[in-house]
Amino acid sequence: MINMKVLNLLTENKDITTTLFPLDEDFYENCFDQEFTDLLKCDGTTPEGRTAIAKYFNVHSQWNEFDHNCDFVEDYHKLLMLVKTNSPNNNVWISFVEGLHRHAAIIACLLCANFDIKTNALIPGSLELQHFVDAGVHHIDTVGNTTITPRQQLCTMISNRNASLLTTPMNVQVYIPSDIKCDPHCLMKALKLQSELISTAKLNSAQLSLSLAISKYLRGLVKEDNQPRQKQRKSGNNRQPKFGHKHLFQEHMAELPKYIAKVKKHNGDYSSMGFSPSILCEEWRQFINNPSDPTARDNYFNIVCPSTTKKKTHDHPPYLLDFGTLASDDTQYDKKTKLRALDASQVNAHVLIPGILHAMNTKLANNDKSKLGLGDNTRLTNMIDFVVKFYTMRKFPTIQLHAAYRHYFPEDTKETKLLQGLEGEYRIIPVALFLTTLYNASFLFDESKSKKNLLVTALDCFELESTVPNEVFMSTMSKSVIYHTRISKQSFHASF
Amino acid sequence: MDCIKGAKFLKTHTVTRNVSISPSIIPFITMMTVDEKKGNLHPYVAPINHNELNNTKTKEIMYSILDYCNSDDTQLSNLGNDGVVLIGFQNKVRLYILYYIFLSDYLY
Repeated sequence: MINMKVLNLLTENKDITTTLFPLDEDFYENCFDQEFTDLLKCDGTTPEGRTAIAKYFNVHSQWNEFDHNCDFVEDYHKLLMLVKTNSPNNNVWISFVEGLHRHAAIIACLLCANFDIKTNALIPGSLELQHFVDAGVHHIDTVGNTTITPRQQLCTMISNRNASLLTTPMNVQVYIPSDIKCDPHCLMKALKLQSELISTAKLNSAQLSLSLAISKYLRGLVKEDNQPRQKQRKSGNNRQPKFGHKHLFQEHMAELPKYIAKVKKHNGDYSSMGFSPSILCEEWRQFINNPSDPTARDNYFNIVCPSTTKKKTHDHPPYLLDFGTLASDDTQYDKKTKLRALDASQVNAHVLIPGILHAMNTKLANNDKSKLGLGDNTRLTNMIDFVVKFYTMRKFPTIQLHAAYRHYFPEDTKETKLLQGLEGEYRIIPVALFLTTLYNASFLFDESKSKKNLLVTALDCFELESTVPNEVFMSTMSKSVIYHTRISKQSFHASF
Repeated sequence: MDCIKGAKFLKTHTVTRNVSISPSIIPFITMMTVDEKKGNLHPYVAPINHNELNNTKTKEIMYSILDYCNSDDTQLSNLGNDGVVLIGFQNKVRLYILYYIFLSDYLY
């Protein structure tokens, strides 16, 4: 026995109890016979369909005695009442695992009924236009000039054979119990979980996933009509653009006091510390506040990109990179001042990192359960500053955390010396660094020399097989399995 | 019971089948009790849907079904065409006995 719930929750009525399994063990094996399958396809909006329904439910003789000189709503209601009260065959029921609202709406429409909230009663013909207004249906604010009642509307649609949403068959997947000795309460629980899973999957497919949100930003950076980029690839011109802004590579520093002392020594002047003007200017601040704003982006590009002359035209970042020519030009480095001009991969990072961090933060902050979003724009821009400096101002790729991290984020008290040790909302730092590295590497090592970036394609296809929860995406992109293996091996040897 | 156990349970104790159902048949195979005097019907569902019925959502769908959207030039809501249902068997004799014993006052 199982408890059947009232369809309308607000009702004060109690639930009722019914059986799930028949006494006949073969029932479920044979229930979808031709007769029942034909019944499911019957169109009850036509007189012929209603006659066929009456025949199936064995109330045909009574049905023929009724006066059918009435509208559809009344005729359909009469048949339904007859089946529910007099049919000896009325012993099969269905209940929707997925499609609860459709279920309720279809029943209410066919009876043109409004639910009585207190009694769970469907009162045939009681539906008025005002009920839509009261329920807050967004299409209408007031009944206005519409004079056609729902009942008139329904009957006209039925007589004109125009009620496609009530006549087109629905494709449904039916769960048929195969073991009538199983615990019906467990079956109910399992189906409820299934219902939740289907709903979550539908919701996820409707929303932009984390990987798609990032790829959307990356794709948006490259304009389709980018002629210089196409010319560059076609002509085999691998020369990288030269940038005027220079910076000093920063030494690794693990202790916070040392870093603070260095900042004090330069009186907090980041320019004298060797930071590139391109990440200290006002245009940079405006750009990282909203990387999707085309005006802020163009203003920043005008600052950082080489100027366009009549002879030379330079396209906007992100730039196509070439392994052979990137950063091999000695003229880019000043031995006296140790200042080095920015290269194309670093400018790419300037453009990519703000957008990647914004996209990730927006997705994660909207998901309260994950608690991975920052929520605060100042912290986000600080993070962008830190990640850009970390990527562009180190001599070689490293996973060691710089002391500046503690300066930027004193609230993170978790002890770690490595990027992958960052937890919670700070995990977007290693993810952004990794994605930027992958983006540049995709251009550097793409032998096909396509102007499409392989990372963007990979992110687009990330969830083709199955949905990847945000937590899994963040873990996958921020942890190094190889490093963990090495550490565990070292720990193993050290223990001996 | 977690999702994995639930899925395994369903795999072991149920079979699935895809069928076409005409919407106008649905009320006939929905469990309902009847108030014959007033002509009202009281629909019931099995506790298998995680969702609770929302009046506005239901009315939105009804508004689309009744094709009012076309008359005020707004976009027709997409109903979707797929559903998942459980089929059950009501042993009417036992059910009517229960009604008689416990619910006769409430029903009529």
